[in-house]
Amino acid sequence: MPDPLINAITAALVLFAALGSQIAVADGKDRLKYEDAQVSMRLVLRTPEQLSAFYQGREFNQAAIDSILETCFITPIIHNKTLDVLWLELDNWEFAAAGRAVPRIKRDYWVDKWRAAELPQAHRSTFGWTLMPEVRDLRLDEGVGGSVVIPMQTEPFTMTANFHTGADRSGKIKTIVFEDLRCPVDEQ
Amino acid sequence: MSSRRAVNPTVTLLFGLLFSWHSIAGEKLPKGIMQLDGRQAPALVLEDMDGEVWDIGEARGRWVFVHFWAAWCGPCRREMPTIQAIYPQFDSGELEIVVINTAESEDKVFAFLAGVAPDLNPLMDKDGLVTERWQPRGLPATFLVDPSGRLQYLALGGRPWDSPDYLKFLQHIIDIK
Repeated sequence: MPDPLINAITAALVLFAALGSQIAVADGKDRLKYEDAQVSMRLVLRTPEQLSAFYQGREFNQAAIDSILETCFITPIIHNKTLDVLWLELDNWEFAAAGRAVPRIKRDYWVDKWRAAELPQAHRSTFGWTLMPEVRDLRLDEGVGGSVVIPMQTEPFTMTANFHTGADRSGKIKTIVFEDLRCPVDEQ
Repeated sequence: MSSRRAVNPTVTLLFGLLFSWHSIAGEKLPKGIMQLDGRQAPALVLEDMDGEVWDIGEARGRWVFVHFWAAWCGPCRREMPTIQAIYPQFDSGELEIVVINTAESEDKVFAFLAGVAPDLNPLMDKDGLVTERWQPRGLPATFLVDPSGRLQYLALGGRPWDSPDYLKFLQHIIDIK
C-alpha cells in the first residue's frame, strides 16, 4: 500500500478518534444485525420478487414496479434503546462498492418516475411512507424502519451509517458499518 | 357589600388548568409518549367508510385520539387490536378515538379491520394528503389533541394502549380537563 494512502487512513482514524466517534462493524454471526447497549439495527434486503409482491399487493401499476426494480432497496430497522436522542440523517450515510462511493437515490428521484408511470397520488403517498425518513431525531425507545435506495449494484457494497447523538448533536458520533452487502436477486 | 370579592370563574378555571397541566408534566409519561408544544392541530375533515364526514373542528370540548395507520405496516397491524380493546372503555364525549387510514382502498381496510377491530369505523384519507399535513413521525402514529384543539402528545410508533400504564395516562388526561 503506498505511504500517502496509509497516512491518509491513519489521519482519518485519528480524526475520528479525536471527534469522539464510536465505530462498530456488524460482523457477528449475522452480518445484517448490529446491537449494543445503545442501539440495535438490522437490515432487510428484499429480492425483486418480494418487492414486486409488496407493491403489487398495494395495487401499484407495472410501470411503477419496473422503476422500483431498477434500483436496490435496503431496509434498515433501527431502535434507539438508551440514548436521549439518536440522529437519523441519511445524508450522513455512505455507500461504497469496489472502492467507489455509491450515491444514494433520494426522494426527488421518484417524482419524475411516478409522473411517467402515472402513479395515483394515494400510491405515491404509500411509497413515501415505505421510505426511511431523511431526518429523524430518534427519541429514547423510538424505532424507525423504511427503505434506503441506491442504484442496482452487481458488486458487494458497504453501508456506513453515521449518527450524531444528543439533543444538540454534541454527543459522540456513532458509526455502524455493514460490509459485504449485496443487492438480492431472485433465485433461478 | 361583602368584604370578600367574588372570584372570577374564568380565572379559577385557568388556575385549575395551569396546576393540572403542571401536575401531569411533572409525572413520568408512559414509554414512547412525547409531549408536544401545544400548537393548534391541523385541519382534519374526512369521510368514514359510510360516507359520514368527521371534522376535528367540531370536536372541541373533548380529547381526541387521532391515530394514523395503514394495513401494510407491521407495527400498525400489531397495535390496532389494542385500540379496539380500549375503544369501548372511553366515553366519546370525553375521549373520542379516531383512526385514519392512510391511502388505502376500502377493500383493503375492510378486509383488515373486520378481523381485528370490527367496532372501528375509520376515516379514509384516500389520497394520503391529510396524513402528510399532520406530519406524523411515520406509521403508525397517534396524536392526542386536547379539548381546545391543540396537539399535546404524540405516541411514537405502536403502543400497547390496553396496558395499565397507557390506560391510566389516558384516564389522567381526561380527568384534568
